[in-house]
Amino acid sequence: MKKRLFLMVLGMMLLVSMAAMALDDAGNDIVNINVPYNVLLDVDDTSQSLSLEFDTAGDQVYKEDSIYTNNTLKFSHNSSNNRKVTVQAVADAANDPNDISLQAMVVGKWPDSGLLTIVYQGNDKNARDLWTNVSAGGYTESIRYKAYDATLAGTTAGNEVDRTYSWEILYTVLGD
Amino acid sequence: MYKKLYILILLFILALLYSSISYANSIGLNLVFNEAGDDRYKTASYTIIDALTVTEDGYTANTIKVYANVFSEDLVDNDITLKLQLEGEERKVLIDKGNPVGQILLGEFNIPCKKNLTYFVDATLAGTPVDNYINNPYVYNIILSIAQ
Repeated sequence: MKKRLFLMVLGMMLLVSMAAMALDDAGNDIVNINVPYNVLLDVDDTSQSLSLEFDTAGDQVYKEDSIYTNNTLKFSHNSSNNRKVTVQAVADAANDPNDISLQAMVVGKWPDSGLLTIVYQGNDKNARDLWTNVSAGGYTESIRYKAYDATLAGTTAGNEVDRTYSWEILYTVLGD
Repeated sequence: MYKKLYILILLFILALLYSSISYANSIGLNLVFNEAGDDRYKTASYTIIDALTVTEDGYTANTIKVYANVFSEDLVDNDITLKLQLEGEERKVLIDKGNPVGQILLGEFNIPCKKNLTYFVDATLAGTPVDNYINNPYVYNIILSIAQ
């Protein structure tokens, strides 16, 4: 009886072995790819200089001056909803009274490739939308600054020396 | 007699189990970027040690072929590229910019063999965004199979 049972089990194992050999072996991995939300903005903090000059006797207003920074604004975000970049100029507390107007733009981006006024006749404006509808991606852009409309009477140099007026330009990312 | 029988059956089961691919690994890969201006996520990778372990038991041929296939639930649009590499072989694309390519041959090996398996994933920020302020998970079931 026992011998018969032993032979029966052996026979079953042989059949299972043959079936296993005929079948392919398989396994599986579950791969979870996580994409964390992130937003990064970096603007080169190297100071940029503009010069207000006049060259004709009788001039009352300085010539405007502008400068293009080279790929100094770097921005990345991965939200399915667009983001925007705002800008605000904050005058240095040591600035003398002046009537300088200052504009900024992300070259080729906003608004219609025009310039946005961030300081008007010596007064800082509130934060303004500089670059809107920015979809997910990575960007490296240039910024243009322009100083204009300052008058000789309203924006003086020192007594036979140059004078510097400074602003800190703040960039912020917000939901659009 | 019964004792010998139990031992025989136990050995038989162990032999069947040993000759197999590692089963049901759960792998986490993070797509991140860390510099402003980046438009691609950093390539992420994950290696499973001895993911493929095959003995001669149960096989009549001297070599085996290892295949991979991918299944997933409906996922939001993405441009994820997922590659697999069995140790000593080239990386093979399993998902190309969000599109599964179907079953692929990872390699053909002499048996017995023991191989590590590495997953590589990358994507762009524009092509694989996340929901507003929320992290997005993308889940794939990778089926590895052996054929003689």
